[in-house]
Amino acid sequence: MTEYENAIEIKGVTKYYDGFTLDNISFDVPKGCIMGFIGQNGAGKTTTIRSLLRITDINSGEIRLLGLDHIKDETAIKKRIAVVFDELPFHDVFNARDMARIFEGMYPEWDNAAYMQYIERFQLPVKKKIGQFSKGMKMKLQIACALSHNAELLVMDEATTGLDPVVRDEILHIFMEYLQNGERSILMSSHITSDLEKIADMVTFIDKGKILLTGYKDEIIEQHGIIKCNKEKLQEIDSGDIVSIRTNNFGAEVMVNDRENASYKYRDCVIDPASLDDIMLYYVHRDMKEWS
Amino acid sequence: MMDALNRSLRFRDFSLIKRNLKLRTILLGCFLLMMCLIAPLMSAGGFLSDDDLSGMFFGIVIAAFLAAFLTNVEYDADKADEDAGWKRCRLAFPYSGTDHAAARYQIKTVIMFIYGGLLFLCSVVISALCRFSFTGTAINCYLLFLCLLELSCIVRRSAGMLLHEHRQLKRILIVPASLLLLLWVPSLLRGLLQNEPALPDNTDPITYLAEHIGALYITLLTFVILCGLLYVGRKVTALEFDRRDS
Repeated sequence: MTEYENAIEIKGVTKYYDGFTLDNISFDVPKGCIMGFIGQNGAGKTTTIRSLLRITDINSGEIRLLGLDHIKDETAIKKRIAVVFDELPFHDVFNARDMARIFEGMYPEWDNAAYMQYIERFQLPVKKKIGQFSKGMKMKLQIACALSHNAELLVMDEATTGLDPVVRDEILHIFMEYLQNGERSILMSSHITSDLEKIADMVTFIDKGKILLTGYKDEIIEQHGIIKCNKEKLQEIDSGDIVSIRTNNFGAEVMVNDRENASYKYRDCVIDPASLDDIMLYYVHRDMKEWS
Repeated sequence: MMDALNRSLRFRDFSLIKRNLKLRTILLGCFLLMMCLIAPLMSAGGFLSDDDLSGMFFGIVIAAFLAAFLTNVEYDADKADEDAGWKRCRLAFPYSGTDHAAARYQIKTVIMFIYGGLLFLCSVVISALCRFSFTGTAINCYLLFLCLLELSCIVRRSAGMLLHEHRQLKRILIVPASLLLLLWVPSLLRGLLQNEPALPDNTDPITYLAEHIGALYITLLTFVILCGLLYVGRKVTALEFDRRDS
């Protein structure tokens, strides 16, 4: 088995669609890491995931998964990764046992005992048809299938969207367990940043098909800050430090991309820490500079 | 490993069509039973003045009915994949279009043979009960309808792919399909008109067989063409299963 440093390496990937371009994107997911992949709807998250799974062909660039080329070693890679989609792609006529029978033949490392443990843990009925499952149950079944073949990389596309907080929390907890030996990695696309703030080590932010930020989550949060000031004070802030400005009746909130530097430069201003949600929001409006 | 994968995919595909297949097989049984009852009545009542014509009529009707039932097997599986969203996501799973098409065609071929067996049984029963016999016509018609069915499947799948300018398709499809069509057209015409009289009481079956070797040749040729079409169909299906978004 190939030794690798990065579970995912995406270099200069471009994909043209009518009306949308995934524009020369590059980022890595180191082995043993949870990468949160954030961006608003239509930013290019699903296209990126579909490109790395080779569901869609890319126009240019290079993708390596688990140290292997995603085209040349496609089947070998897919045996070692697991994918969780936003919607369950399993047929309504099957039940949980049928799914085990199907995946048993597909994955050489399928572990029926582990699968049944997850089914029990999630309290999923074994004989009930999937068509009668709730959305939460469907997602749990998909996750049980994904985690039962000893996959080294788990790719999730909006897997927690539409689930209630209790189920989401339970699922996030299972992902943390899954990562414990440091040999496994997760790429988790979501626009629910609170989930990623809980579990992600790294974050990549995509907007309009371009990567705006990628790196360790704590560093990104540390670097960014929100200056709350009045309109006169706003004039003193260097435009080079500003990501975008949110105006309101009382003044303005300015996101800066170097909080430490800003705290020296604008000593008389209050600089609040920014959350991933804030960062996403201010970066999305970066072209407008001022928004409300 | 390949065996396990094939077994999984066969199980998956068969589970998808099982419910509809059961319903259709019950319907089919009723239809064949009805034919077994109607044919002697018609034969006695002189429904068609010519016995050969009666045989041809029953042969074509029963074979067409069976082939029409088979058409739905493929559509059922495709539709189930589409409805469940599997079609959108299947490329994320570790199997190729070739693996999937192989499993799909194994099921399809088994159903074809089972339906063929039912047709043979039905025609033998009716032939025994009536003044006319149509086993040859029924088998020939059935094979011809299956060829048509497979051809329509190839056209349906390739039409979608041609839109995506699939280069490989030309190599796999156009030349062999043209050759097969050239061979098949004469057999289509002759096969439909082929009918045999009932085995006379005092005729030795070997002599009878030798006299009707022409009919057997047509059946054999149509069968070979059907095998060719199934092969091409499987390749085209595999290509379609492997198709990625452009």
